[in-house]
Amino acid sequence: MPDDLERDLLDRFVRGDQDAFEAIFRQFQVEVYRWILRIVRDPSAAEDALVDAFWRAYRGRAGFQPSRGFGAWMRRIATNAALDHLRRSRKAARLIAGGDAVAAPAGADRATIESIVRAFAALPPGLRVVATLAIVEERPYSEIADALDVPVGTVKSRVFRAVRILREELARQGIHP
Amino acid sequence: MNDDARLEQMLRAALPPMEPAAPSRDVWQSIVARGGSRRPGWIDVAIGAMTILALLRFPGWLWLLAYHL
Repeated sequence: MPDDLERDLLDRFVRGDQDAFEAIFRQFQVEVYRWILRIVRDPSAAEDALVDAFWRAYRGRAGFQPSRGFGAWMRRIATNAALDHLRRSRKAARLIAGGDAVAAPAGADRATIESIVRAFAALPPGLRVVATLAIVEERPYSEIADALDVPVGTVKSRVFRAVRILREELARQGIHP
Repeated sequence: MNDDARLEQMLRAALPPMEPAAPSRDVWQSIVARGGSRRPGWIDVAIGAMTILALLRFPGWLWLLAYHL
């Protein structure tokens, strides 16, 4: 994310200047949206989480230190907003369990693909975020750790736990990768 | 290829990385509506102005107002 915002703009944002907030939003919205989209994997949900993230940023602006990067701070907020969305959608998914059909990539075994997607969706949101970013999106561990504000070792252990849970769930369904 | 690598490969086949995209709409107004802006509305300004004028005209109402706050 671009981090070369003028100090004056950030100072005005912290003081609650709406024009400064909008200028920052215009500069960062696409990068923040793409980051959220990687996590929630649904454009409509990503837009909702984008609104939520920038609203949280404005509400929590007093805690932002302009001397530190806005991009990293915003990414943490965006990650938390996306995580909260996953938690809410997981509850909703339980209510409509057995719902959506999954589009299988060409050449793949549709039943296997559906099993994998369902097993992945059933992961606890905290593990799912890490697994999505590390395995699916292949983002560096250091970047994920920064976005979640946790040590790199925590990211590695969460990926390990996510893979183990996935493997167990798939084994229960007779799939042995 | 070990088991973990194979599982990760299957996962990427089932859930391909998201293509870079931009929001389909301008969500700024949604942020403002959500409360990102605390700019007071005209009704708030009107009520505030009327309260001040009333207190200037009838200072004794200050105690009544303070009682209700």
